[in-house]
Amino acid sequence: MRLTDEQRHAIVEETARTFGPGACVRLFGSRVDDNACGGDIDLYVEVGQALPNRAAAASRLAARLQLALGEQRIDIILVDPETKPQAIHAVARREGIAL
Amino acid sequence: MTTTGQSDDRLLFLLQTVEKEGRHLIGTTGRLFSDTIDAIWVQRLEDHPELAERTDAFATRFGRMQDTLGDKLIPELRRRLLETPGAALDNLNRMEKLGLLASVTDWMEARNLRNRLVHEYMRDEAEFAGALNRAAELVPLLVSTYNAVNAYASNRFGASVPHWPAPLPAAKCKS
Repeated sequence: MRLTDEQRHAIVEETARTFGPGACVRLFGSRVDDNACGGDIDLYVEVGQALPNRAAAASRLAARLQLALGEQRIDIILVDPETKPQAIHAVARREGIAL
Repeated sequence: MTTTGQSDDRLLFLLQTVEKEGRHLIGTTGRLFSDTIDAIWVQRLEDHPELAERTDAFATRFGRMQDTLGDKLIPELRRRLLETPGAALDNLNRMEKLGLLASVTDWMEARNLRNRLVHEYMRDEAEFAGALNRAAELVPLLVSTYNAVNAYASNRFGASVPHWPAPLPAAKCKS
């Protein structure tokens, strides 16, 4: 996994601050591969409660992370109990690393 | 003073450009959000190409105004203040400190939303509707930032300019 401890800590902390301690965040995509370099930070976040606006909540979390970690592309898939299942969700759950 | 003249022109040109982009964005926002936008509305876009085009126009204009204001006008203002423009986040923090941008976090949220509007089109109707509605809520942030930058630049550099670019009408916050 290519994240520093500081990055990992900031991601876990901001996710909990935004969605509460029950939210689960996984890193997936190219940052999981130790031999790749660079790349966006792809996060898969699962929350137990239905959210009024998932797109807004995900964009807000990405903004807070960009302020904490510096400017970079952070892509967040945010899944609540009402989210329509997509193939990418299963991939992220299977291949992602829980932070 | 050729150099000063040219940079005057660039600042004015960018203010005029953002003003025009802002007017177009405000117009599309008013037309698009006269309907209540939810997942069912998004599903209907498949059969209503003119509405789908209006939706695209909103997403494009929302992004375009952010780009010209954030990546061109704000760096140019910093140059005129004899500062060295930095990375986007650095420039936005400076604007917040000058009182010209209400919230860097809101601005970054708008940028992330814009990427979602472009890349997640139609994959999840409810989520796309949410992205559109939140983007509309952030249109007033873009408008007020332009107006603040305009007023600030006008105070400092506007005295000798006969036709200073107009401010935008305050965008109504979508409730």
